[in-house]
Amino acid sequence: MYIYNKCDQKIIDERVAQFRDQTQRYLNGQLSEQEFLPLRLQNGLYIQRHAPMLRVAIPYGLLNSTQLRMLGTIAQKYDKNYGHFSTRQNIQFNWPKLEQVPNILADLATVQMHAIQTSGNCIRNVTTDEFAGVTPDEIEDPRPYCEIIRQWSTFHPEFAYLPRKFKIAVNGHASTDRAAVKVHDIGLNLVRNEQGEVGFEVLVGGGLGRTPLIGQTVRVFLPKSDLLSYLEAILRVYNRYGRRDNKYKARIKILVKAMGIEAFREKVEQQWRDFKNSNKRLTPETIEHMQAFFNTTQYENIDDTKQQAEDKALATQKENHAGFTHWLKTNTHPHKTPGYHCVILSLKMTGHAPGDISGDHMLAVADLADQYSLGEIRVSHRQNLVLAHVRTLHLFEVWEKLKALGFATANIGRLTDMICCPGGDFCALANAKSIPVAEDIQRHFDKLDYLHDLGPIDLNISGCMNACGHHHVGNIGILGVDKKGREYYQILLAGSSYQDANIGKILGPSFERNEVVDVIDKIIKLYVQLRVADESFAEVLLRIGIEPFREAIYKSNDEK
Amino acid sequence: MMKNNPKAMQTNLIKDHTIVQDHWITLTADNPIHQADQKHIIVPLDLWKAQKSELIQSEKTLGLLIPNTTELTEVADAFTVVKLIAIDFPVFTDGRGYSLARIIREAGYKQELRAVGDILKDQLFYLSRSGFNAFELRSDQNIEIAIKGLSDFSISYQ
Repeated sequence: MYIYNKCDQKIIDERVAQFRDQTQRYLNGQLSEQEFLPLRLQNGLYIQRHAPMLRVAIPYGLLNSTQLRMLGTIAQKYDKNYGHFSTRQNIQFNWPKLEQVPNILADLATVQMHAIQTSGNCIRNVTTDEFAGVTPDEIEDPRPYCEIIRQWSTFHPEFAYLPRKFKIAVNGHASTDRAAVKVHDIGLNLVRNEQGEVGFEVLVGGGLGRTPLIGQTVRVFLPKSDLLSYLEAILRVYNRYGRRDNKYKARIKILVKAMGIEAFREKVEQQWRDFKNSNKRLTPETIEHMQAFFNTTQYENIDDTKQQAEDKALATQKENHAGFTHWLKTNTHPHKTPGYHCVILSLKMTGHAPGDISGDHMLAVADLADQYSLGEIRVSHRQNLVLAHVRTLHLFEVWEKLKALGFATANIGRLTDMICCPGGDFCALANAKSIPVAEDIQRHFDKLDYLHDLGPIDLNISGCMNACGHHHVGNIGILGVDKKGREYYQILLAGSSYQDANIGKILGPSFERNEVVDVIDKIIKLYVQLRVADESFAEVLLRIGIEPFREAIYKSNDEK
Repeated sequence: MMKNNPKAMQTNLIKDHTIVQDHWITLTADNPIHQADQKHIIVPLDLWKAQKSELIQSEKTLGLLIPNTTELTEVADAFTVVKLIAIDFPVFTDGRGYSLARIIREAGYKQELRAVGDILKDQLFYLSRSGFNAFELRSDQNIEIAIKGLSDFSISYQ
């Protein structure tokens, strides 16, 4: 992974000093609430329902064990001993004290971490596939480009006061998109052109929130060397022409929609032509220098004999432990190096808020990473953790240890692997609670055999239309709404965040909280009834649409 | 605190990293060109467009005050005439002025580029890196404290 040099360290150290001064001036009354607001937001600090919330950046979801230990220690020392992993691969602490935040940032800086631009109207943490660099059929590892973008966007002087927040995601795959690039302000797909050169397909104007839109292709092929100049051209057009009169119309997606993709493209390309031959171009040396940080060389060489022996042992372990077999099926992902596997730690065990983890458990996971996964941990946008380099021979051991910690629920990609925002329990924006709804669903669908039989289903819950829980792009989406001061829940179907990205359709009138589980249950039962052979939930919806589901839900309700 | 600091009472201008006196005056409806007795005058864009030749022929040293929505084509012909361009920041959170400053610098303008309006300490570093070399601070700001904002960071990525 990327290691800070003296300059990187100096920049974050100076940031800590700057924010300490700003906080002090705010507490002394020298900075008004209004003047302090964007400054604290660009340091990840929100004022929430109960206390400030601090969002710490985990650039493209990658951590080393020392960093995770620090996060765990911060949770223990400054918070109520837990943290919440967000859908943008960051971590949020819900209970820090404002006056302690400069100290937290100072602690983070000692392990090359920060909270820079995790909030506010600026370029946010760049995200990617949690299996980047290890998944077999990747075109190229997207992380070197993520780090190049991170550095370019950090304190970019021109783009600190954009009309609204700005999110960039990078995907390294042709066929799979685990980074949800189509619902980002800018989505970058690594692609190969007809000449065999690798570059980027650039998408723009995707996003969720009040006006969910799927990103459109602004450039089919962008040479690598032009990555930053092109991003800068897009950002400049957005900064100049994006709406500032209404915060709900201020995202780039609204500008792209209003201008039309053709006119938007023309404007960007015109700006880009001026940049193209400037020093904004990336040299092959810069790219190679960055790539070198991400080339893992510590893999053990596993010869065929060894591999066969380990596979045989694994087969025996599977025979003897049905639970282990289930877990292998859902909670591991192939690794491009023979003898290695990615292991996904489910932070979606029944009775726990999705994405939450205690400080103590962070320390325990850091130990596991050191012992079994080259000291590295990743955060997925679906709010789980990944140990990306686990040897075949250690899988059973890792499973047992994860079971003891509670992270071995074999539900990755299944109905109970929900994306869920903090909701009305914590967030000041929320219309409704989301965590208790997630818990009700987890309790109802607690039978693993059944979950596995149902196959992959994304269920996403947001407590309000700001859509932090990505409800629009779940196969099943749940949205908390407020009706005359009471919490109701709207159900959406047929969304997707993958390469076939799609905004879900609203099923019909919303439900009370105690009805939600029953509705989900009916939807699932109807799916089981209607599926042909091993058709997935998403495939059934694609084939028959949402109408049969609508009928089943509302007809039966009318009869009550 | 300001009482002990006579310099801060007289000026709210930082130029080229130094607290300086402002010898420019901005034309307004109350203070049109024939009444302005100062040599250095800043002309709002509308007035510039309306009276370009008259202004150029005057004995005055000219500056131009432009809104942050200005297009390069509206001001490019002024670059060789004016000694100052001031970009207005209606509120400090409106970042259009940063892009406009860079566009003007990239187009080759080399004279004074001044940020005016809602200009505060905590934005000075970004403003200066976007091409501004002069900052007319909001009148309630303590200029001695604010000038330190220019050196919040000693290095940058871009």
